[in-house]
Amino acid sequence: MGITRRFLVPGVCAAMALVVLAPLFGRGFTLAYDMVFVPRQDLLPAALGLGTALPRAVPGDAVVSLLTYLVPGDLLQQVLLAGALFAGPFGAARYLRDETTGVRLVAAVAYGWSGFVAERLFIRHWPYLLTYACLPWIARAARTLRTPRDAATLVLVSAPAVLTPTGGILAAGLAMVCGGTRKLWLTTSIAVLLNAPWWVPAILHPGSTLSDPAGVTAFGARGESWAGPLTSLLGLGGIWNAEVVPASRTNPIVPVIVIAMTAIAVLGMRKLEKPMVGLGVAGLALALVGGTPVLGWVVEHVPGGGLLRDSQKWVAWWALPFALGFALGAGKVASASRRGRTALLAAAAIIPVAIMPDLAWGGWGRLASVDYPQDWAAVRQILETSDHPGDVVALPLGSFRQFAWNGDRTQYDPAAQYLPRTTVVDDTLVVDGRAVPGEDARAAAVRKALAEGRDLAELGIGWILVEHGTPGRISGNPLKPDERIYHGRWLDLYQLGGPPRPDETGRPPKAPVITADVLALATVMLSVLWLVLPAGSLGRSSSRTRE
Amino acid sequence: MGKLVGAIASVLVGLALATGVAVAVSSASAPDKGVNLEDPAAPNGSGSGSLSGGGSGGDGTVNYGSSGP
Repeated sequence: MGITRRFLVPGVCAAMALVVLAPLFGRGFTLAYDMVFVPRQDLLPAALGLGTALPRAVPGDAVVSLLTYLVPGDLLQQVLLAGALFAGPFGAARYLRDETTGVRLVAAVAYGWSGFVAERLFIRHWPYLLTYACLPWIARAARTLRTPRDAATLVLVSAPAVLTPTGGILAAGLAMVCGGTRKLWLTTSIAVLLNAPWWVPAILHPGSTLSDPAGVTAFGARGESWAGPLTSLLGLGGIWNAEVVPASRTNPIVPVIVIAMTAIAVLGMRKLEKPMVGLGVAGLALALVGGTPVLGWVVEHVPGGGLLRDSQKWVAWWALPFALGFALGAGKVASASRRGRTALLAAAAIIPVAIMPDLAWGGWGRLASVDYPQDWAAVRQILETSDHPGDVVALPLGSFRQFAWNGDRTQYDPAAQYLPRTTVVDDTLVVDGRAVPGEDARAAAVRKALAEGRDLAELGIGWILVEHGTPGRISGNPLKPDERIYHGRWLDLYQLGGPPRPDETGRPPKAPVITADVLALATVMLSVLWLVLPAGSLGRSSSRTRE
Repeated sequence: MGKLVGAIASVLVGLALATGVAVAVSSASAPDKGVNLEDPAAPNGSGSGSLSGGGSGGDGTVNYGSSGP
């Protein structure tokens, strides 16, 4: 019985991850929306924030790149997703380690089977899922922060969360709030160091760090049912993209259940730390502000304000107090009832699954694995072995593709990750048929040059990759038949004549960016050593040597 | 505790069964739309032009998503 009790919670967490991700296991890549994994990703300057675009996927791209030198990309993708979906609910249960198994189980299910997990999984924001998984561990590590060993633990549980700027802010905010004012200097220092790989290139970026306010309306939180955005956000949903919302979230009964769950959660939140609850409410408020003119002004006038425009992501701060509070509240209600305590807790654990069954089995088939056509490997090999200089531009212009070989799923263009050279991908986003301008000055210059029929070699471009079987047109006429050196079913590769000129688009300076990367990496490595090596062991060994 | 374990186990088994049945039903009613190498939208040599395909945006670009109701 003891063993059963001990393994019940991790077993349920593993079962939840398995039920969701089972269709993905095996060889092949899950490619849709923002998630791009490739067999092997080269470490290119953009992955470190040294490209012409803002460092939106930094240092995540660099970490994936290094890991794919060790593990094939498809396996890495499955490990990361499974790890995130297991660690999140398990961490929520561990946070309530002094509570009964039943209460911990409710916390695990409420945190792991949530609207946030479903919608961010279906839009394939895997770094956000990693951050979400780390939040319970960060809250616990920050709350018990006393010794250097605790600080090392906080660094390590924060490290997977800071692969993107948004993740870094979510992790830093929670650590600072849960650590309290006395440890604010320490939690702030850790946050500054771990997030340095993206904030250093961001502030040194020579181009504008302002974003187009058009994106604010498009990416604001939205109501998924008759009850409006607030209820959707309370239930951890409300993402901007209606296409990735599970159908169950639009059920008219769901808002009623969400309000009931919130009431139970508020009951249980009395046992939680007030700053954590306060941060959760702040996250809700921030998510609600998305889509309003206030945020439009911020995005247009405050550098880096574009980080706020996909506003639903801030409910990640609300998720932890909501799930923990719901579990504690359910436990409180169960304790107060003389009969049926077990049934009450079991019902509380079932509710999150019952109101959103379509998260199971990869969202009823939303997630599936495919293999890249052989053309991709062939083009990669040409670019690897050729002496012809220059970067690559991917056509048709546009960030997203719908390849027939991937079931016409909307997916980010994999060229920038798959190819071993810097690849210019147009960062204009089209939402509801309206274009939201991007921020990459070089992509804008390439777009203009193509429209005017100018030579792309002036912009440092030596190659053109044409992707077939996906919507999109090519403006101008940059393609000459005699320059085509690869002709495949899905890809053509053109080698432009003559050496390209060096691209003069502004980039952040290398030295401070590399220094920031080294500092962040050293912080993580030192924390590992601090936890692995016995305290004072180096001192003892050196004194023995002297003896 | 025993009852809780029993209840959770029953739920998990029930969910797993329900998941399996639902997946089977959905698979039967809407066959997998996965890889389609045999009948692509507009790959090279399909005769419908290699630089344009099915199209989802107004100018042929791919929509990232829809923020509508």
